[in-house]
Amino acid sequence: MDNKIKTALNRAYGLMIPNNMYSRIEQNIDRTQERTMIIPMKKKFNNKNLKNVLSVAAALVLVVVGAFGGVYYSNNLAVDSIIDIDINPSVEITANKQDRVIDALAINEDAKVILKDMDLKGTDLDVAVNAILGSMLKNGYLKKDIDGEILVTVKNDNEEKATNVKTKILNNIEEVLKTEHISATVINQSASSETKDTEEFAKKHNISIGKAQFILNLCKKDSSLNPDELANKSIIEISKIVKDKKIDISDIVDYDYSDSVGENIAEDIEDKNEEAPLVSIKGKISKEDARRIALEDAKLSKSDVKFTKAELDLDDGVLFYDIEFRANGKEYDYEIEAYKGKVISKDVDIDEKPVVNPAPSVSSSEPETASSKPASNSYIGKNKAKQNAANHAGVKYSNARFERVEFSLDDGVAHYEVDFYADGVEYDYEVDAISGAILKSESEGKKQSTVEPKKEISREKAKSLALKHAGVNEKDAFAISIEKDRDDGRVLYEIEFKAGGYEYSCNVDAYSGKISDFEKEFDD
Amino acid sequence: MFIVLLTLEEISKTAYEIEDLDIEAIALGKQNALHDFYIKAHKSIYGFALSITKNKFDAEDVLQETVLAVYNNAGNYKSHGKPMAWVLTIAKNFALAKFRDEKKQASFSESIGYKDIDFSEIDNIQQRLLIEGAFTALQDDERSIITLKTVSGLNFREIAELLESPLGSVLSKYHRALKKLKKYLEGSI
Repeated sequence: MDNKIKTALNRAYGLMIPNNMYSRIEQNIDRTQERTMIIPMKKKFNNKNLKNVLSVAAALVLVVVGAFGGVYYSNNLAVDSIIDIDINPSVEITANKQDRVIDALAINEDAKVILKDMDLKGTDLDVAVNAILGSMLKNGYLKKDIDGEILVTVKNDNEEKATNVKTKILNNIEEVLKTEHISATVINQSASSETKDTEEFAKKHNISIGKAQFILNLCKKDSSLNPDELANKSIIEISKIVKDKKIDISDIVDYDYSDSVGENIAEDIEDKNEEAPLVSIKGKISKEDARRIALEDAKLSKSDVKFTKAELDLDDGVLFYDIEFRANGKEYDYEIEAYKGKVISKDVDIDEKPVVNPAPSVSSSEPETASSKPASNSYIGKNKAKQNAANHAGVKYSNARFERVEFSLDDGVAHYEVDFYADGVEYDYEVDAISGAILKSESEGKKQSTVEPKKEISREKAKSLALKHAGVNEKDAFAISIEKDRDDGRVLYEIEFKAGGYEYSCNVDAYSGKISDFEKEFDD
Repeated sequence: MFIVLLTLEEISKTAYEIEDLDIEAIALGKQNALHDFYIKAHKSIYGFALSITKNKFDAEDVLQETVLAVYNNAGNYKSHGKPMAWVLTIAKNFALAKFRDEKKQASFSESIGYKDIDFSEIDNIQQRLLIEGAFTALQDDERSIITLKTVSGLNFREIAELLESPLGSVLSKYHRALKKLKKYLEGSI
């Protein structure tokens, strides 16, 4: 969800910039003005690596997260394990049941350096871990002859599988360390007893992991408190107790002094819940329930709609159903929280003719990236995806500026998300990763002025609207100036006047009469 | 110690990642260098500026002033961290100056709020809601931080430096902003 927010916000900002902005800027370049021309720039030594070379504790956290029960796909792309190699740098690997890598994501800046030019898809998990460790070494994140800590956390639905995977990886790491003469302490953090206690406590009282953790931490600080009693209290009641007893919670909670105690507690619990591993997926509502909830919210009945998707998905630690259906020429996209059935998000779009995703066929394999891969797969590759998208849009490949080209496993279909920009229009494409077919295409340009000529209001009308907005009587106003301006398909009246010792200015939209940029200042 | 950052991958940055070479090209007077720079950087500059000025026309002015400043001073640029941070520092100064000017003028009942911004050109409902949320539900600094994180390609450390704010604050404000936006989305559906 966070990613969607970021993407959407990013797009929204982009849409607000006028198309002719650059030409406006160009016109204002004063070519007669002296400007500083090039002074040879020295390439500075990259500070980042320097910092890591000096750090003593090269902490490597390996987190293996298991399947989220009853998962999605029955082919090789089924997610079985998610491995996080974390913190300095942070890499997340998704692997399938056969311990083959489906995808490797760089989560922070350092990790991007590590994963640069490496395509780990389809490789065996241990090969991938080796490659990552090797890259970390090469880039200076693991230093020889310096004591480091390697933290391995395994979370998996299937405990036995978790242990197996973890043992494999640990052996792997130890091998690499030995050959590279790095001494490291491997810390085993799978299902620590503390986590188990928290989980049991949470289950016993039917509260969330976050709340359980907070209560247990709190009781450790004040032994007069009884965790079992607290478990049933609301956050407000608990925060009252914290305040009355004057317990300092700033060391168990990421404390924000601008928020109240209760707010801090609530946020902490929320954070912990988001981070908490999925222990079990029991107690979730059924797919049918989720569909029903979505329909209710959309005020439609089953017979009105055609369902296109109903799947379990995980985002930010929240398990939800991704429900999609079509009705009345519109496409509905719902996210329904899997335990309580709450509608997390809802999206309605005009239905675009989708291209059916053909069944994955065995096509000739092309390397994903330029660098060689250990194993071959049948994806068409990013470049081909870009070409297909550009062709479909009728845009010359060389004219297109590609903003984003990413492989995605969202929605159970392997595809590339290709976003590009050409001639003032922003295109979003989804290209099937196996067949190259166009799955989705969208284009957004700035709204052009409408075809039918719209009626403009008169200057007089604009003036009176402006005066009205300022609360000024026509007879009191003087030095009135009214100018018409055309900008980006919009027509504005720029109105200025003085009255009562003030100077006013504003814009009036010539079609809607809407006032904008109202200003009032002392008349000096 | 270590900072546990986002659990999500960041948007691939090929669009707006400007490099030293791009600035150098401008300074060398290479053809189209400024235009190429503009294509890569305009969203970051505009978004950041808008988050501060809360006024579209001012943001456009800031965008223009910043691009021109880059054009005129490219030769002075010394490689130090990301060029985008340099560009945005310039933008920040212009934006703050504009914002202060507006504040001085609007010292009466007109408060500078989101109502001054017209988002109607954004067709996509979710996008429009989100950006509205950013301007109604978030504090100024929360909005600037989440905007930077979304459009500029700067990491948290760089954002903290740009905004002259402690890294920890930036992190918690960012997460708070995300939560508020989610709540805003849920509330308006």
